Amino acid sequence: MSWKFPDSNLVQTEVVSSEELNKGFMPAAQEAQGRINEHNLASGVVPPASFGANSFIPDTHVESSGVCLEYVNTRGSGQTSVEGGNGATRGAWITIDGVAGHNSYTQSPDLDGAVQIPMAPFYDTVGSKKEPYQRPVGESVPRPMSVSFFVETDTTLWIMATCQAGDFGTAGERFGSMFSLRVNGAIVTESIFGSADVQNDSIGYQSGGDVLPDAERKQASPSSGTSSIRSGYPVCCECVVDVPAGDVVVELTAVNVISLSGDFVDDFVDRMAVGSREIVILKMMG
Amino acid sequence: MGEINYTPFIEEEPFNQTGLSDRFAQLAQQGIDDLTDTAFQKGCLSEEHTPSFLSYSETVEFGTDANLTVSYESDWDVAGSAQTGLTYWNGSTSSTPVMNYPPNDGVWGHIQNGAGGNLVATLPASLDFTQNFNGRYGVSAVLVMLNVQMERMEVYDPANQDNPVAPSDEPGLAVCIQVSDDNVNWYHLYLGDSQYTSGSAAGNPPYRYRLTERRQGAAGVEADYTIKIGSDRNLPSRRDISIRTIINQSSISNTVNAQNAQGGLGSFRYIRGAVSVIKSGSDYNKKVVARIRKANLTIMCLRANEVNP
Repeated sequence: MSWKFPDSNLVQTEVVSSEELNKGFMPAAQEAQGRINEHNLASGVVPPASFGANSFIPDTHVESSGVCLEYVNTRGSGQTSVEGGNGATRGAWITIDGVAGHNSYTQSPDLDGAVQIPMAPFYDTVGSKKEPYQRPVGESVPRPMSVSFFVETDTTLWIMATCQAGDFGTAGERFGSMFSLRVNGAIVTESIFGSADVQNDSIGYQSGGDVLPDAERKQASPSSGTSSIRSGYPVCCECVVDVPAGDVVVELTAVNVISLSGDFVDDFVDRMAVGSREIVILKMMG
Repeated sequence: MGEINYTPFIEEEPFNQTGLSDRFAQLAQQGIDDLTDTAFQKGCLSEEHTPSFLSYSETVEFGTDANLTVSYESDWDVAGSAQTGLTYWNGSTSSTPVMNYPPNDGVWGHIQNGAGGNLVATLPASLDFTQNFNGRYGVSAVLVMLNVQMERMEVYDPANQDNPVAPSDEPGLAVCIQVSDDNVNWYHLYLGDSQYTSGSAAGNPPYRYRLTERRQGAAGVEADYTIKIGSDRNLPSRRDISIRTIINQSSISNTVNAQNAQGGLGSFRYIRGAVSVIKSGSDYNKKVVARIRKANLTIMCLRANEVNP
């Protein structure tokens, strides 16, 4: 309820009494005890948002600690080393360059920085395969693209994961991959990226011929047909998702079409890799 | 103090200067002048009252086909045997790919709209993340979203009057996000370093990893089967390149100076999408042209708290 003041006005010639004064002041005082609402505030008392204007929005009324937005630092502090700085455990930025201690070309995928994706026939976390590791010198453990954190209340997350990916085969044949975000164990369907789905994508061919049905085996775009130079292709998975209070796990996952073809997956351990990459997570607390 | 603790007048209390001033002070000075959140009903602030989590945002979009008139070229100086133009492997003089050490790791250029416009987002003022909250305009980080629609690659032979020629290797397009404080000198956003580069690179080691770089090769189903314009010089390859990144203090402190030492930038005001052309293998001495159909760049200056997982 809005504060309407005063309740009664003093008038000329009236004798002022303590009772009259209290009647004037008390409603205002009582209403201000936690009941000031939008009607008491002038529109624009906090400078309005002016997106696209040629100035930063003034921050006079903003407490830095009161901002209802957080972004999760997935790079670790410092970012001084290849793996993304001290404490970066989320799978970040590595290379395959043949330098001793780094991933080597013989451990294809031959990409400028890469970790492998397991060839199991289901979505698996990028970088969770044992070898080759995401490495700077001395790196000896997998660095999956997985971020874990805690939210204290129902929270909306805006998640953006981008990376450089490549599919690599041993006989000139390459098979596409699909990527997606997985939040708290559930694939977020609107985040799925790629054309490797054998049921959905009719574009593709196998070994330059059209004799095999696309839906069974193919070289899926966008990297099919590449020869010795393997530029790979960019991947971008995004979603906005609500999560309940508690622990949250965000993962960038992938599945390679070759794992769905019926071949033994152990034969294809080097088919898929991800290079430079980043996960951006905004916790939009409303 | 967010409450108004009004002390009522008691009967027979004189209305003197002190008594009245006390009451007004309780109401106005201690109350209205100093309200805190406990004085407000939960949820009473409407969108017109609350601050935005954005301090500034901007989108630059090149959405017309006029962009196709822009030629992003990596050329070869036949007489001087040197790379020219927007060349990714800018140190190559043979089929071995060589990129020079930072800050000259590849030659990168603006994404353009064909009418003199560059894909650059400009902040209202130079931003220094080392400043306090007000000094950095409440901005804690900048979210950058870049989308580029690659159109095709073309290959020519500079040793034969720039006549079209079929590629012998797959050309490609590299795209990244760069920052600048003067709109002239542009800086990569690096993450970490390494002792490695291929070949005999010029400059000072170490090699550094360009965090936002993404690459797209031109070959593929579309290039193989789509009707080509002219000849094999033309590789249709319509693909989307999407990059998302956060620019924070670590990003800026990891920029490098001309000697490849960290700390190249203290503050920044401009953000751009940049491109470079990848000539591969035996096409190192060819002229390769990339075409981009559409591109857009969005920046969002976040008024946010950085938290560790």
